[in-house]
Amino acid sequence: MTNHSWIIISQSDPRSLYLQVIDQIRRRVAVGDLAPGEELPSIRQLAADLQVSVITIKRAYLELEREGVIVTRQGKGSVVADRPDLQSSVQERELQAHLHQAAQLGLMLGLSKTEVQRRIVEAYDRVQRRNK
Amino acid sequence: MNAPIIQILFLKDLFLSRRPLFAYFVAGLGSCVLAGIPQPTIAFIGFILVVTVAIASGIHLIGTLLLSESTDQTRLFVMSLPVSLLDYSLAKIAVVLTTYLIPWLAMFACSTIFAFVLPWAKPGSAVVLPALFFFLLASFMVQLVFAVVTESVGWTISVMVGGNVLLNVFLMMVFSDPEIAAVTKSDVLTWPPLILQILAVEIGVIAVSLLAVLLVQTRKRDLI
Amino acid sequence: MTATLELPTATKLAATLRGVSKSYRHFDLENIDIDLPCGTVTGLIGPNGAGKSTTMRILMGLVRPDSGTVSAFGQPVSSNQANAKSQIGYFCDDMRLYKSESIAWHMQFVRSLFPSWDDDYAAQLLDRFGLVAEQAVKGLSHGQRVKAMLLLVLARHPKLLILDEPTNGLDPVAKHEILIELMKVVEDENRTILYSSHNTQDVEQICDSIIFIDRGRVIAAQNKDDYLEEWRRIKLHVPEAWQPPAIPGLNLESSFRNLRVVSLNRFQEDIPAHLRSSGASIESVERMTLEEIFVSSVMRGREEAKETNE
Repeated sequence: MTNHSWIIISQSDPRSLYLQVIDQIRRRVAVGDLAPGEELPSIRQLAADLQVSVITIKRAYLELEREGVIVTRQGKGSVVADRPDLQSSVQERELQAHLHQAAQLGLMLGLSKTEVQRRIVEAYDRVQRRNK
Repeated sequence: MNAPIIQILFLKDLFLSRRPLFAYFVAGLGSCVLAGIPQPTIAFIGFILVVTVAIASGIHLIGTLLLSESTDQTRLFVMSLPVSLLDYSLAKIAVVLTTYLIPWLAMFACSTIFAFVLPWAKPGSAVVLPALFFFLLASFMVQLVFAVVTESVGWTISVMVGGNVLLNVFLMMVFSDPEIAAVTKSDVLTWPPLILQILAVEIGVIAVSLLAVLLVQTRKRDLI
Repeated sequence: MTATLELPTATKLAATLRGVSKSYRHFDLENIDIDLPCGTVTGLIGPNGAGKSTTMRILMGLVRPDSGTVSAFGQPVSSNQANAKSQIGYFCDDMRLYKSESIAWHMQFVRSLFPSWDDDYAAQLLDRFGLVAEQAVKGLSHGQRVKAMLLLVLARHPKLLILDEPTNGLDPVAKHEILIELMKVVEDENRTILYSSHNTQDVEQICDSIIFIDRGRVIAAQNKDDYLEEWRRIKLHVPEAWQPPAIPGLNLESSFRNLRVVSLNRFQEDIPAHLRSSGASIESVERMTLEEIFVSSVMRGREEAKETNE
């Protein structure tokens, strides 16, 4: 039984395990499950809980630190970065990634800039209606 | 050499062979009782059974305690524990000898007591008993040497068969000697020189075999 | 800040093999060098008969090498060293327990030899592995037997675990149970695991380093990420009579009409450009799974062996 059921990774593709861990932690920050300043499990603890190599978790934490999502304190483990704008900056980053992908796909489909814009507006309206 | 470890291994093997040990002990005493019955046919059957028990127990114990540990792959398990090869060998040899000697001593003691205690038995016949029992022990020791050197059941059984043949030769030799025949029918214990010579050879074989077993087993380098 | 995953140079080593060689009638283990840093999980992979089991037995002191040195926890390991074994937990597929006795008897026996035996943990493992202590070994299925033997190893909290194909022939649930317990060992940075398996997916998932043995030699010993990073599979469209350029570590895996699949074991960023300049057009550049690398390595090795024999 894993103590950290907020991280769920699929073990079907071991190569992307480190990406999955990074993704999952970013997600939790984006939706607010992980608050700024909250302590993260130690590298070894998380490795044991997910049955993933220590080296992979280390790499994930290093990458997250590089992105400014977490902070590793010498000898005291890692915490979620204590920035008031953390959640929004992670969300912003996710948005950018999705928009980038949307633009790429639009170009591949041969859509014009205005077409892509129109599609984004439609999607926004749909989501807004559903949220009501 | 780690005495507590040797003791643990010794007791472990003793425990594992508790059933055959008990069976041979009981069968051995039973055969002695049969051999002590005044009816010659039954006594003869009893005698054969005594020899059979001694030989069978030897083969069985060597087979289960020594040889099967290699083939059964339980040896790998034991060797993964904090035991040195020396500890393992000493414990093994000690337990194989002990488990053999328990029924052996029971039969030796029982038959010797019968020779003196049973009203129809001639005390003089007790003179043959050491020669017989030390023969069986010597034969067992030689089997043990072969088992330890060759680690093969095939070789060990060949030695047993050889020992069996020798036993018959030995018995013929012993009982056809007139001096011995005379002593076995007397009420007085006297030791014919032939018996003493035979005993000397047997004890020599036992001592040399024991040394050989210890040397060979402790010289082995690979634990498995 | 560069992400550096190299271990600091003052790392303690749980065990080492230096220049170890061993000759058998039909097989030679040659010049094996292995370092097991404390707190790591090392995966030992290689085809059957490559020498993995022999290497692990030499490390355990069960087999004496013809040359070279073996040490564990800083002390030399020799065939009479019982001390090292009190800190090492060994498992191999060939091991058997005493059929007529129960799991409980074995637990008692092992307990008498190890002061580090943990009764509570042993009870937990019995429960997690779904084993009945009073059951005789001869009534156990293969998977239950393996779990029983691993229980006997795990319950004494050994500092170093040497496991020779522990998940062989286990159903996915049993395998999962075992991996969970193995990874618990990892929580302690002073404990180390050497783990060999044909299940390359497990190795890829839990190991920090990979050691690859083939035909008696170590052909790779690296940090897992670095090792996987060096390999690529590239799909190409090539013109008629195309010859692959002389790139070190390039191997033609398959060809069909004008499609070629090549693998590279020393990938560098400039290689795709080099391939393009030879007239090929690149359809894709992909990373390979450990299993694919394994197969490619062994195949290359066999071709090399054939060439040197000709």
